[in-house]
Amino acid sequence: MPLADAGFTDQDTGRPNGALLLAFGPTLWVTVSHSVQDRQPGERPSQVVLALVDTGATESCIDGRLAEELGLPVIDEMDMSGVSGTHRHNVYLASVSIPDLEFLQYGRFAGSICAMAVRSTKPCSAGLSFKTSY
Amino acid sequence: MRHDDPKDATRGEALQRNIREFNAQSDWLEQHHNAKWVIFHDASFVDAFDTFDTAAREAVGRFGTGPYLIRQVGRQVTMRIPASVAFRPDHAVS
Repeated sequence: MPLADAGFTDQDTGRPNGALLLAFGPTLWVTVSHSVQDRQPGERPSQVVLALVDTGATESCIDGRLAEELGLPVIDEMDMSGVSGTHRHNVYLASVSIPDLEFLQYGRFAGSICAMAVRSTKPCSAGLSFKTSY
Repeated sequence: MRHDDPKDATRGEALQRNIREFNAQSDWLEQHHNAKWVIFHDASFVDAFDTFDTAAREAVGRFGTGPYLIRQVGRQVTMRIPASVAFRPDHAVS
């Protein structure tokens, strides 16, 4: 079974850095794009980002700006609730590849405005639909 | 849905039509395709699938970037985002 390091390695010692893991949470490098097919020149772009592995999440979410930049199709709407109340958000279709795990599948991602605040660290999170694949 | 340009607005209206059709057929869908992932395109039911992945592959293969609706029958959830996830600051480790 393929394994992936979901933490952070200290550049100096080459060992896991607990402080970074505590600060950012368990993360994986993933490639987000529109299609699982091999892209042709000029087709929609893909982007490699850090994704937070949220083992308690029932759904996955993505930074709304990243979804718009990648031109991800809007396939549904969903209510999202948090400290600011309940709001309706777009649900995007994206293919997600995790090279370390030899994993590639389509996922539905709720576009989150809140997540824009943390875009540079974890623009998307992988929830239940990905956990159930393992 | 955001409507920043006319193309987005058109796609948004198409998605809303698909959602209205899904809701109109909800009784029939729950009777015949409960818990399946269904595709609606041009306000018409296309097909039902066991998994989201297979439904998405079919939708992309037939309709490209859409617009289309992919929704699981009988399951409408509200996603809850803890404040610790939504508002975790970028400068946490700086």
